[in-house]
Amino acid sequence: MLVFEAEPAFVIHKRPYRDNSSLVQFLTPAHGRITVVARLSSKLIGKTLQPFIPARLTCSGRGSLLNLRHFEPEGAGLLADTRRRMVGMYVNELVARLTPSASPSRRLFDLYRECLQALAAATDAPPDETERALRHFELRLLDLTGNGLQLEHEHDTLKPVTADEDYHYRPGDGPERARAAAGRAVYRGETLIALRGEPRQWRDEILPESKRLLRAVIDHHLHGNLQARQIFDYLKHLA
Amino acid sequence: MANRELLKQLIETFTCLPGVGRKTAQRFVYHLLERDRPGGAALAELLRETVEKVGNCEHCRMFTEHPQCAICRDPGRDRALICVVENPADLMALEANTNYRGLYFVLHGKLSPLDNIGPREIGLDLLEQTLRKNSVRELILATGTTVEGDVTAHVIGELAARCRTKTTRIAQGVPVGGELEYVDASTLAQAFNTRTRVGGDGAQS
Ligand SMILES: [Zn+2]
Repeated sequence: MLVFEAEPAFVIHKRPYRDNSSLVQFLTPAHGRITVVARLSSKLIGKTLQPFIPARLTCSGRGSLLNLRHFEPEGAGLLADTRRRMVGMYVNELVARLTPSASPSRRLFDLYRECLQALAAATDAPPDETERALRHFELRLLDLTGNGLQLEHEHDTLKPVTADEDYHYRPGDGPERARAAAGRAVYRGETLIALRGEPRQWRDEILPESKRLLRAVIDHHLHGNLQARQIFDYLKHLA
Repeated sequence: MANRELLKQLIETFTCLPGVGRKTAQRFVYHLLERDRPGGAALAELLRETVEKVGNCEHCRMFTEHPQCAICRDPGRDRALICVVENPADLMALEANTNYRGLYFVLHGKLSPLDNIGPREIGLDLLEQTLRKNSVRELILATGTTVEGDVTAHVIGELAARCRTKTTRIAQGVPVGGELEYVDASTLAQAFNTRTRVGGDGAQS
């Protein structure tokens, strides 16, 4: 029994299941993040079921168990070179770890696709479009999963955030006025205010601080369990 | 009653093997009981001993019950060549289909965040120690061409560059998205013989 046909899909992750089959996680607009049993030879799975390729997915099944019937790539992979693929791995890990499974969201799917497109188009030279695309993706992903950042007012006093003030950030609650020698990370009000708006209006200067802030918030939600970062940290330690 | 329980448990346990479902497991168990009880006993004994005694080669991480595997102990192998593979099965495929006479390094996986496999899990600390000794002339990357295999090769390439080791990657013939283990013999041999240089700023020429 067909459950859906020619649904837009991206491969998020795959792992061997039994001989001649794999468990593949897809992101789709109408069904959200789903896990599908693909009964293909490993050779065929390796060849066709690769991440970062826009594709159409057809599944059959009964109950919660879905079987892959057809998978049709639409064009080439979006992330061609290794550096971009490494960033893509990070994006996929965020999707897999932060989004609930089988929760339909066209906005999440569009956000994901736009993120890959932005990463594909980004140049390495400053201004760093990769960082900008990642921060935008992280912010919107947190919004869509009910973990959106409160950037409007101090969570304890309800005073509006002002540009020239320094703040700490408490994930789940929001900014609070920075106290000297508190030993906690400090963010400028200007950064918090900017992050409410569109990425193309972010000044380059706020990017490093935004990265720290989102890293702290994501770590809070994932209890520090983000493996892709280990790869970046390892490369940094080599450099 | 006790017998029924043992049978059930054994059948269940056999299904931990890849490709072995309940039916196949049942066939295995009935075969051993009906036709080959001594074989079953030998299997049990050898399995127990194997999982107890076989560890990883201290040099290349291949499975072995000795401190070093047979390849690393072989004085006829070129110790200045190291070929990095994802799995023991890849090593066996290269041994069977190429005339490579260097050593190996077995990652036992590839970098894959969602499988919780990072640089430490694939043994890059040990590989770095080896490369730091400056006795390696060429590091050959024979990881697959999946996204993860590609990223793994890149990261190891960076490590080798840092250790001033010349690095090549097997190229031609391995299909995009291919797992090495499933490549046919002649393709694999071809790919191995046409490996190409990777990155390697500052590497020895
Ligand atoms: Zn060895």
